[in-house]
Amino acid sequence: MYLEQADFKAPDEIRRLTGEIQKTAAEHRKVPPGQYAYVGYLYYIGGGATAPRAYFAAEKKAFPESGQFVDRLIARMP
Amino acid sequence: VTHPILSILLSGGIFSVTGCAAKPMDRAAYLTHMPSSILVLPPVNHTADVGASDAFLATITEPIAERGYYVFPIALVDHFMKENGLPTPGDMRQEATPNKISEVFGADAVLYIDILSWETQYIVLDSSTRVRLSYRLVDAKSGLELWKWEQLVVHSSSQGQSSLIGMVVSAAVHQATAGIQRERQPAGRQSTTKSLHQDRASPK
Repeated sequence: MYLEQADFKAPDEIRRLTGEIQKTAAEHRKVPPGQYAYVGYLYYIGGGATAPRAYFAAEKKAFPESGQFVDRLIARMP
Repeated sequence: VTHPILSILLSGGIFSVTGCAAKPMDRAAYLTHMPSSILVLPPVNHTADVGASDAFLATITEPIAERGYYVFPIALVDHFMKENGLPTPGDMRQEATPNKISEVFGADAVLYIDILSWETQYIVLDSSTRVRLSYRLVDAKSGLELWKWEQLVVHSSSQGQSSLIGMVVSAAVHQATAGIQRERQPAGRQSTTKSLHQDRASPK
């Protein structure tokens, strides 16, 4: 159900979350774990190719702990 | 022994959280295997309330991240597992063993959550929701149990409880995970962390 909701509201969610990320970065604060990856995922289910990769890479850069999972996600992308 | 730990008055809703460890908490295993990353599996819902799991998915990771861990984005984990033939939280629990999770995700530990009961009673204009939860943190590589907690959450509201249930869950998880607050990093590692944080910028 959560995923279907995300699917349905993806453009709104992307706008809200990228806004949050920009604000956080401007204030030199740390973006919460998973946020870049989640935005990447929203772009991905919206059919994007470049944006998901960029956001997955940002997750890995910010949180090296995510590296293994993020690499796997990128490898599976068409 | 249960004792009230948290009682918060919150925009028309009152909730209290009581917790008790299933046995006196032994932190030895946790301290020797202290994880830096936690994968939270979607909670297994043992109740008839079908919405109970969804309330968790949206709110669960933040209070754990606040304890100092890297928490894998649960929506992605959920999606990834479904794509890999595990359609329900029960299937994920069964098939995604700690070892497999270590292999696939690189997670240090796995947090299992069970929603044991979820009851709402309506008394005239008020509603009262009682939620019983259990948590189990397991070392991904060894399968060793690191920490265990059981909790009762009571939330009373004169308004619709649905909008507040996410906050209840968030407060409950925040309280439950007090026992696994990550210790401060040794002084030598702090500068590295700091420079990493400063390095952060949104992708172009």
